[in-house]
Amino acid sequence: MERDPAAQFRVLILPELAYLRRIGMALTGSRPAGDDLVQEAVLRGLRYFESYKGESFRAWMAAIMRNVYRDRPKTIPFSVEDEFLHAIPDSAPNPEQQAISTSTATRLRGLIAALPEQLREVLTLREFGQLSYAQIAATLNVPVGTVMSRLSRAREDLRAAWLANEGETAS
Amino acid sequence: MTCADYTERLNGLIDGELSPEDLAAVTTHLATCPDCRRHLAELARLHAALQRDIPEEDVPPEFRAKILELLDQPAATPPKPRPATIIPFRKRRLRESIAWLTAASAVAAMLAVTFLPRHDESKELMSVRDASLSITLTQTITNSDAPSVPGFRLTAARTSVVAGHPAQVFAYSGADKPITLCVWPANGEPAHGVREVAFKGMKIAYWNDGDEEYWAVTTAPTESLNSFVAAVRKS
Repeated sequence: MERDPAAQFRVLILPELAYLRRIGMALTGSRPAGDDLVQEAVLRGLRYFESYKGESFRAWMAAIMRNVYRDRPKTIPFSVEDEFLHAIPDSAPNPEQQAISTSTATRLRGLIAALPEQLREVLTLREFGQLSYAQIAATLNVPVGTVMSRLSRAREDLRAAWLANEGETAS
Repeated sequence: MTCADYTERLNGLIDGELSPEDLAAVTTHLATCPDCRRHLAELARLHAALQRDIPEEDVPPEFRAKILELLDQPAATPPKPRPATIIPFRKRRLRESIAWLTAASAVAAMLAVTFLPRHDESKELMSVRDASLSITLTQTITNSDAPSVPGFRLTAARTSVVAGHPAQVFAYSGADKPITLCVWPANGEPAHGVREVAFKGMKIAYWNDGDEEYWAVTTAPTESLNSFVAAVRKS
């Protein structure tokens, strides 16, 4: 007997909420904005559930998260209400100097939020979405080589900022 | 090859994404290059920190409840590929709102137009734009309880989830370009006059009469949109 698609979607989506919140927060740099993104992605996922063909549901939803994020109105930025972004002074000249905060997680989130969008999304899909290079390439509609170069640049920027930040907090 | 040429492969090594050939090449290079070994160690430490220090967070009960509420909305169901019928507009609610609109027609002449959307309306803007793009795919209908708008002809209607709201979506002709009207319950959102915003090639006018929220979307000239909005509010 064919199951109700909405019921099927609900069974699949509920265990993935924590996973999606992590991606949402990394993409937007804000917990409230990340949660808004998750809600919008859940609705879009339900709407287009008929196109889900049984591949990795996580990868399918991660792609929707990214698309919803990219489709957001550019003139209306997501709110930045989290403590780690409040800790970033607007006049700070570079990401390294921006991420001055207390915990490692807070510092890392601030540094990720400071990455350019193209680099942040590929890093997020890899580190928090756990997508393969091929899955990321399909999601972004770019060659795998582009994924590799963007991921490399993202990690280099993050690594440099992290090391600089460690130096500052140690001094 | 220089060390810089190996940077992408060091990342591939961290992620387990290297081909056997690349794996052999980078392993050989690492055996003789202390700088790249240090670089790899730093990347590995960063990767471990991201996994360890930014774990998946617990889902608060209220967030889970919000998601369940979204999924439980009657209109929050996947659309059929080719709907055989169109769910009719809710007659009772619409007539109530039309009655309210009639009583408020004097106020309609004083349209308070602003050009900046509220900060938290990005979701609605995106969704009503999506709705306007997809409504034209809906079959034409001839009989509906949709708002009768003088000077404009109803061409399509359907129910949908728009920005998380169970909504009625109508398409009208009569301007240079079709105009889409999305209507959903205000659910306690404060009433406000007409606001307009240009968004992704669309012009969007929206208002809240205290009972329902209305979102008119079009690529037609602003004058046509204003005429439509005034006609809806006076109808």
